[in-house]
Amino acid sequence: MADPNPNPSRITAEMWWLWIQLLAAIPGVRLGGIYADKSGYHNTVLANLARWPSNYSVRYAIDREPPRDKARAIDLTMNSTWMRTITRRLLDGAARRDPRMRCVKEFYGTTDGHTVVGRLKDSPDGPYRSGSSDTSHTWHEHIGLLTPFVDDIEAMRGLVSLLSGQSLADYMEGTMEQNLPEHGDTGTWVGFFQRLVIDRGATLPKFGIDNDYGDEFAAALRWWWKNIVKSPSAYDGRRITSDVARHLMGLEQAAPTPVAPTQAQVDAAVAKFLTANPVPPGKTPTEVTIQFPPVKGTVTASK
Amino acid sequence: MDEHEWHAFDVDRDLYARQVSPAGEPDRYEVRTGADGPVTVLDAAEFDQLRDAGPNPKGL
Repeated sequence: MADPNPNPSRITAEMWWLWIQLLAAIPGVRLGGIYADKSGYHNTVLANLARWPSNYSVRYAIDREPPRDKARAIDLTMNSTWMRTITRRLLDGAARRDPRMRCVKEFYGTTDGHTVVGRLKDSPDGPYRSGSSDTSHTWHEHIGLLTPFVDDIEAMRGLVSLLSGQSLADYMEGTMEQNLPEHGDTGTWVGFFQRLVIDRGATLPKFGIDNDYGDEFAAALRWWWKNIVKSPSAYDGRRITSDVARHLMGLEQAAPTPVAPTQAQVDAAVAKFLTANPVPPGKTPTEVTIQFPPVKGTVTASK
Repeated sequence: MDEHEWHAFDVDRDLYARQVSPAGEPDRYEVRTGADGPVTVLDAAEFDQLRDAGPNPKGL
């Protein structure tokens, strides 16, 4: 049985759940800490405001939101192989704006065992920028969360998925699909898709990215689906279906890569075609076009 | 954060660590138990061993 949360007054149940999941997912991982009585994300909003009011962890409004009495970061001590793996997964997620990283304010680790690398951002959908920190991050990964997400179990599920190496596509097929927004919903998850539809050519001229799934956003989705995706299927824009989400995120299934047939397959197909379509007596076939699969073809016969 | 500041290594075992080697020199670490426990000096290989959860180097 997993250890109970050692400090419920400073560590949310969701953060502790995150640690328990990572303990199971990352071989040999040890907890380097969640709450720490120092400035920054390991401490609470209230403590930072009281003792280090200019600290970057309470600079932006989003980081002064509730819960204001809980730690907002986790440190994971790992061996060099897992340090590289976890840091790489975070870097890749940041680069492709993986929605499972919306909650991640910052992270620091290493991909070579010697150099500390990291990324940080100021809002859930904001771009990451490079950052660095001290060399202890060659042996422990630091992950800081934007304050409102520290008691958000769905955010934690997404982060566990990403850190465990699950693809976004697989995650899409699972828990996230149950939370796709529809007309009338509000929240940053709606804003995430609003930004994506703008990135893909639509506009929200009146309200912009307002985290509100209203008529304007629905109309933008309809326009994008018809004019950019050029999908033949009807779509009223009133719900982000999994198919729509996959297109917005660039995850639509690519066509399978064609595989060139072997010469033996060509010979067999030609023979099969000629058996089914015998050349008239006195004629000699000069060209056979075969298409795999199924076997189709034409024969151009000379006189 | 100070480059050589103590940092929690494993809260379950109350282990703390810090790198103490100057830049350009072979990596060397100090590890201690608790706030006032005895300090053990480890080289890079011993520290990696500790991270790998292998046999405890130097009794840690």
